[in-house]
Amino acid sequence: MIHKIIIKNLKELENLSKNIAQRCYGGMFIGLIGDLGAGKTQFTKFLVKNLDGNINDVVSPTFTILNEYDTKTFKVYHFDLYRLNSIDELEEIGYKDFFFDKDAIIVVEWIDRIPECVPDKYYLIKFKFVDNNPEWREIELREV
Amino acid sequence: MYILGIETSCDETAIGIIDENLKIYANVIYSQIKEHKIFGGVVPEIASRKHIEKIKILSEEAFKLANLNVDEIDIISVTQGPGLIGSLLVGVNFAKAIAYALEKKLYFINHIEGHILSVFIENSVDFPFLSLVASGGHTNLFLVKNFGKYNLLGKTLDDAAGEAFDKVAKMLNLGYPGGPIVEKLAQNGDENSIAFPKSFIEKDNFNFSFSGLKTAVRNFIAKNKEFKIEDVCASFQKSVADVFIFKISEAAKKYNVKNICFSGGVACNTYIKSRINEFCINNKLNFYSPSPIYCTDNGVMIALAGLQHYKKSPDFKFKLSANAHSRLSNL
Repeated sequence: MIHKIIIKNLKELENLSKNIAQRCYGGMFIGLIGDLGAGKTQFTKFLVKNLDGNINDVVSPTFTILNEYDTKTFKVYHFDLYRLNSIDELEEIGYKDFFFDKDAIIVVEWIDRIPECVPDKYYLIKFKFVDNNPEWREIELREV
Repeated sequence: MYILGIETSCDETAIGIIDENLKIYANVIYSQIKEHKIFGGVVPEIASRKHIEKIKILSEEAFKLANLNVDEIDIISVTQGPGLIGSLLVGVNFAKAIAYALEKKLYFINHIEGHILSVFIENSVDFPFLSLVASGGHTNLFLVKNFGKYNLLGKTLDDAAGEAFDKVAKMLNLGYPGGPIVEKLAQNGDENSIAFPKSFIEKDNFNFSFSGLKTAVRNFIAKNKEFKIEDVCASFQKSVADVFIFKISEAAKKYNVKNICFSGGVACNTYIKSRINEFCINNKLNFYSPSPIYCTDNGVMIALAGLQHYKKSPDFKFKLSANAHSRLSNL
């Protein structure tokens, strides 16, 4: 199942995140794909905010690889594979403890860098820039 | 009294040895930048493996330079976090092993505290002061009232300032690390040629945001077929400096602080440093910033922080381990 939508501003990205936040369940795995600055971290920020309005410290995990947030409902593991190159490097971090946690929501930026790390069932969200409209993004949602 | 400082939070393995009067006996740093260059960033697995390879050789080198034996050390201090967990563990366990074997005092230091206190390596600064710590992984503004009294006024809401430099460099295919390359190219660019957004310039809010600036640079590159890379670098760098100066200016007014400190890897950037310095001179503020060697990760700042911890509580702390998301708490 593939959905494609165009979002035109941050408000619409927030609405999308809210929509997804309402459908979250324990063990949900969301892979994010998109160039630098496409909105992956911003999406995660909105998602976590919609799970728990008190959490405002979602930042880019590029440096730490993994950030964790305790929301009212779920724990959120926020990964960033930007600096990783292989499944071996991910193994080194002990990623399976997090990726298969049935009580958490797992959001992984740059999932396309190590595509083989995904679980059996997951969601993919692709963020694409739209020519001539710097604020717009084409979002592709895919359930696998 | 001799203090050994060990720092392995990211891609530098660093050892420093000082005494209680802050005299420096050794400051040795092994940087993995060469190893990381081909990947365009720090690769954690390589990072921890290299720390293991280098830490013993580097410490031996430090003791040789200091002309000391390891058992002459009185205090060991080591970075506990924040950082890459695998890298942190190398330093923490190395420090624990020495402390345990030789029965030395051991202190776990927050990496950010090390950067805040790094201004004391070369200067004496009166409290209170504002401390802007900006690096590849952090961007924080503190009001520092005393040793151990750190009031966080603001931090980045998305990307760290140094991370923005790295990512802009990547978008322009300039290599890693981004900071020095962007700065060098910026020297031959026109900083007023492109009006990039000055992120988060709001009153009474000391948080930072560099993600929008990064995206603006990306959009500019995608939209324009012909441009001077130098102009992009200069204009981007100017935006970062303008935001820093605005936040410092607002915080200095609000908290009536006269002393301004700037440290962390981004403080190696001479353009940003001189812009802040110029602002301070014009506004009768005192500006302090460590030499580049003490702005990047180093063991001396960790040793200096360890000395302060010892003065507050001169006893052992053995239970702790590395903490990748360690938050800076007051003493």
